[in-house]
Order: sequence, then C-alpha cells, then structure tokens
Amino acid sequence: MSAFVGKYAEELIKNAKYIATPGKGILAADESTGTIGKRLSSISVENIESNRQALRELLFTTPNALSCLSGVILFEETLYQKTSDGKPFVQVLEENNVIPGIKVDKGTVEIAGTNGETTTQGFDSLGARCQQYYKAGARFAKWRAVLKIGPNEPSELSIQQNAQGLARYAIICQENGLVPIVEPEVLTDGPHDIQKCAAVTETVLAAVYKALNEHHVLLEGTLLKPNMVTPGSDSPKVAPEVIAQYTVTALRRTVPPAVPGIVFLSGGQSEEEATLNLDAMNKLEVLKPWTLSFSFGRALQQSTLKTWGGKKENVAKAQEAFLSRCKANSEATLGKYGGGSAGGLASESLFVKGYKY
Amino acid sequence: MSCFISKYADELAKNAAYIGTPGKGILAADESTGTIGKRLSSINVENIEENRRALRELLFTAPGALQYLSGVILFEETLYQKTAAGKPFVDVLKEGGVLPGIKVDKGTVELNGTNGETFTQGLDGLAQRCQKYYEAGARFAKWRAVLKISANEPSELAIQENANGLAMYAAICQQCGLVPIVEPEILVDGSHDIKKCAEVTERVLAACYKSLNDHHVMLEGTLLKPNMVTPGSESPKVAPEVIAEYTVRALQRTVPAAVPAIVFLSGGQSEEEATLNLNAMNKLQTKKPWSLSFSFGRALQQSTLKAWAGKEENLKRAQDALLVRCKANSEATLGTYKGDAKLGEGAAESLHVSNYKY
Repeated sequence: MSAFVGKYAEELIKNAKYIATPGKGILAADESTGTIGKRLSSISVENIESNRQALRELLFTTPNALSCLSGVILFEETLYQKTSDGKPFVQVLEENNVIPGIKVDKGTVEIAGTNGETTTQGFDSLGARCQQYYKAGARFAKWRAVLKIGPNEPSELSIQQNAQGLARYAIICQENGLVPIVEPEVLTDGPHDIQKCAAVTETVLAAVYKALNEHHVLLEGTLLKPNMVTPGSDSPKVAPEVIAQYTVTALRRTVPPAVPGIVFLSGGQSEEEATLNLDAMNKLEVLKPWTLSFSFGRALQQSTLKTWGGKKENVAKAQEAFLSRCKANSEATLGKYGGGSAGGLASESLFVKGYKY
Repeated sequence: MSCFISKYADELAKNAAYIGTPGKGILAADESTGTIGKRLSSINVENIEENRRALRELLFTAPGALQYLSGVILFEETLYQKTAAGKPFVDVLKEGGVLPGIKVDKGTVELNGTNGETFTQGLDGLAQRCQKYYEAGARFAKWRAVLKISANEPSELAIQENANGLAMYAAICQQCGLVPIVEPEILVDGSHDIKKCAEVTERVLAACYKSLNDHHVMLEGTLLKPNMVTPGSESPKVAPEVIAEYTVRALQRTVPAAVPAIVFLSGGQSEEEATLNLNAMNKLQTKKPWSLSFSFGRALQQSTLKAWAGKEENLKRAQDALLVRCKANSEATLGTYKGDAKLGEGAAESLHVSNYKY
C-alpha cells in the first residue's frame, strides 16, 4: 500500500473507529499548565497541582457523563494523576469505555519572515515519548497546527510547514500505537466572510491530505479535528444551517472517505453555538462518509468551571452542568438535539483574540 | 470557495450526477482515426470515413442499448457525423437520454530524460475548442493521462506533470460548460503485484486531487476515470473480489466524496473480466460515497466488432452483442450481474496490447 501498515495497524483502525462511534465524542481536557492556569484564575482558583487534579476528577467522575464520550485528551501531567481515592484517571476512563488520549505537541513558534504565522514544535524524541504514553495507557494523540486568515495569510510556506508537520507527527504516532488526531486549526480571528473561511479551509485540508499520503499515513487509523467553517470573529454571525452547509461541503471536497471520523474543535464558540452547529451538520441531508462529532474543550467545560468556582460544595452542581453539555453534544452527533440546554452560561462566547493554548 | 465558480456550475453538477446514475455508464467510442483504423483492420474493414460512420451508427442505434448509457465519448469527427438517414448522432444520443462527450486531448509525447514516460498535449486553444464542442452539443470531455509502473516509474516528474495537465484541462472545461472526466491511467503492463499497483494508484490519485484543488476545479462537476487496481499483465491473475477490495480501498483513501461518480477504464481486460470486476466492487459492503460505473471502449465493443465484421447483413447480430454487454455492465453497476451474459465471440478474450497507444 501507499500506507505504512505496521504492527499496530489493526488496533489503530479499531480505536479510530471506536472514537468515531455515533452518539459519542471527545472531551479535550489537555490544557497545558499555563493555559489551565488562565481558566482557574478566571474563577479565582490557584493554579496548583491539587486544583488541576480536582478539576479533572470532577469531570471524569461525573455520573453518566462518560457514556457520552469515546475519548478524553489529557495533558502529560494528568495522564499520571489519580482520583482522591487513589485510582489512576486512566483506569477511571478505561473502565467506562473511554479511550485516554495525550497532547504531544509543544506549542507553536513563529515562522521567521512571515506576518505572525506559526509552526508547531514537539518532534524531539516524539517516538520515545509516544511509546511511554502508550505504556501509560494512551491510545490516541493530538497535535495542534495553527493557521490564520489575513490579506496574505495563510502563506504557502505556513500551509506546507504545518501540513508536513502534521503528517510527520501522524506517522510517528502510528509507528507507536497511537491514533493521531490531525488538527489544522484555521483561526476565526478576522473580518473575513464565510466564503473566505471555506476557501482557506479547503486549501489547507487539501494540503494536509496530500502530506499524509506522502508520509504513508494510514488514513483509516486517523481522525481529523478541523475548525468549522464560519464567518470571521469580526463579521456578522450566520445561522447554524449555513455553517453546516459550508463546513460539510468543504469536508466533502477534501477529506477522503477512508477517514472514519471528524471531531470538530469549538474554537471560541459558546457551548450552545458549538452544539447547534454540530447538530445542524448531522441533520444535513447529504452524503457524509465519516461521522461528525466533537472534540471540545472550552465548549464542554465553560459553565462547569464557573459553577464549580473551585469549591467542593459546588461539585455536584458543576457535574450536572457538565453532564448537560455532554448529553447535548451526544444528541448533536445524531442530529437529534432539541435545543434548550443553554443556560445563560452556555450561550457565552468563548472567543479570545489570537487564542494561545 | 476554494473552487472557481463557473457560470455553468449548476449545469456541470447536474450533468456529472446524471452520468453517475446507478444502472448507467459510458460508452467510450472516441477512438482517434488512427486507433479505429487498427480496430477496423482487425476485422478486415477499410479505414474510410464511411466505415467509421457506419460503425458508430451501429452502436448508437442498437435497439435498447441507450437506456443503459448515460454518456458516449466521441472523437471530433464523430461529433459532426449523422446517421445514414441524415440525423446528427448528437441528436440520436440526446433523444435516447445520453449525454454526448468529446475527447479533447491530442495524445501523449515523451517526457525528456525519463524512461519512456509521457505527458499529454492538447492545452493550446483548448478553451476555444471546448466552446465549439459545447455549441455542437457536447456536455462532457475526456483527457487521458498515462503513467507506467516499472523499477523507477512512475517518477515524481511524470506524476506532477500529468496531474497538473489534468487539472488545467479540467479547469478550462468547466469554464466552457463541459464536465471534465479526469483520467490518470496507470498502465497494467509489467510484472508487479496488486499491492504495487495499489500503492502507485493511491500516490497518483492523491497528486491528482491536490492539483485539482490547486487549480480551483469544482469537484462536484467532475468525474474520475481511473484504472482498476490489478496485478500487472505479466503477473498471475486474482479473483474479482480481490480486485474490488484493493480498488475501492485505494479510492476511499484518495477520492473526496464530492466527486459524484467514478467510471472505470477497462484497459485491456476482456469484456467479461471488466464486468465481473465492476460487479464485485458494487457488491462490496463498504463506504462508497461515489457511484462506481464504467467508461469502456474495447470492453464494450469487442464482440460487437467481431460480429459485425463490416457486413450489413451482420447488423442485427452485432447490435445484439452490444446490447448484451451494455445490459451486463448496467447490472454490474448495481452489483446484480449474475455472470450469465451470453458470451459473444471474443467476450472472454483479453484485450491487452503491450504498451497500448491510442
């Protein structure tokens, strides 16, 4: 084959397919220490390990939430943490049929000579690190590439660099038993319209799949985590049905059917927006050879975080909020979301300009 | 959109989807004058315009055949020809619910410095020619790029040149209202196994779709005409189910769902082989967001040609032979072919010619 079929091939295909199970999706709980610090400080909670541990325990032990999830992406620290009872988080997830995943990139750095465009680092010892993570129970990985829309952006250089980076990361993961989530995020920042976002997204995705082919990546053992196609953050909003139409068209034009599932990032959309858009896509009457699901961070945790406020006595209510978003998104993957799980918090925009993890 | 929205966008999408109608496929009757000459001489018929016209009339007026076809690819001469009664072929086809198509490439030339690899010419004045063809009634076009498998082939140069040529041709066609059939044929010649063919096919198709994206081609208004994935001509044959599995997997890994239909070339397979392989693909229980059909030349005409032998008294026999193959392939697009088509003379005969040139 053009694809590398190593010793993990069958397992990769099986795990990728499982993550793409209709009715389930991914909780992105892989905020780095710095990033989770910003979240914690927004609710006046100190950024120390026990608080980071408490937050993740709150999420992973929410009764009935895990049945809505097929995977959780973790930051390295979290992969080795336990509940207050001493049970490893990885075990909590596995016992509930949720596959643990691991963020393996080391953030972005600027590409010299460009207008603030970036490439993603993390290749050093990546193979060895993946092996360690596999031993610790991880079965999928995530690597975020970032592109922006501007008058001359994204540049061909940025597109190529990020596509090649994603492809190289992907094959190294597959060599070591981890399903790579391929994430080429085109930021929403900007005054551009939805057509522009669509054009850029299609160009970027075409480059990504060309690179994956060149690097012999086994598509059946990968997942895609793209942005939805939307107007820029400085442009008037449009209806979920419009977003659904442009997004699914872009994907139909670029993502080969061999990819089992597409798990969208929420990129600053409010919890409710993200759910409504995902629901609209799954309601769309057009042929979609991959499942359409979620890999949400902020759009699953925002109201949970606010409700918790770092206080033990709020845990139960916070967990209710979390379950509510999980259920809503689970329904959205089936095109069955009826709306109405939007508390005031759920409608709050989570857009942060020039967002850095 | 990343793609250029031609004023013909809706029409292109509609015509491409129509050509992919389940139960229908394409008759490739676009043999150039030189090539049809070889066919005619194989049945001792003189290569003059009247005989070329008579053969095509035989095909297009075969009773009951047109219902199994959504398109016919024509050579330029044929686009302007008529039946003996004076009806333009284009009208015969349209009345039968068949879209006329036109071959627009001008053959292959060798790529300097390679080991006999080629690129396809025909871009000069292509837009003007397409406009004329559209006026004459054509609604789709075809351009054949050729690659080969060997120790060091296909080279990156050959892949890029041919992918780029296909993309430029496709973009021009769309601007002129013709649905481009994108044909990157990887020749079956060689001693390689089916895995090698799969690997090369995936690489070539990935390059094609990257180029099409670069050139802003609207995929919903295109068709793909690939080779099936098979062992090389000098390698042991495999079962249709194996060919089906490797072929569909290669397509799943490279062809976006926006492409409405894939119409296979027969490339030297016998009539029956080609039908059985197509049938096996349509029986396969797996993700196929595009319809899988045929664009056969030799694999639709071989037994018809032999039955005709250039004699008017053989007309009915010849037309019956064509109907048999059209019906068989129509069933194959639905996965319902039972392998029971009355085999005409030569239907099981391999049509492979080494290093075949049109």
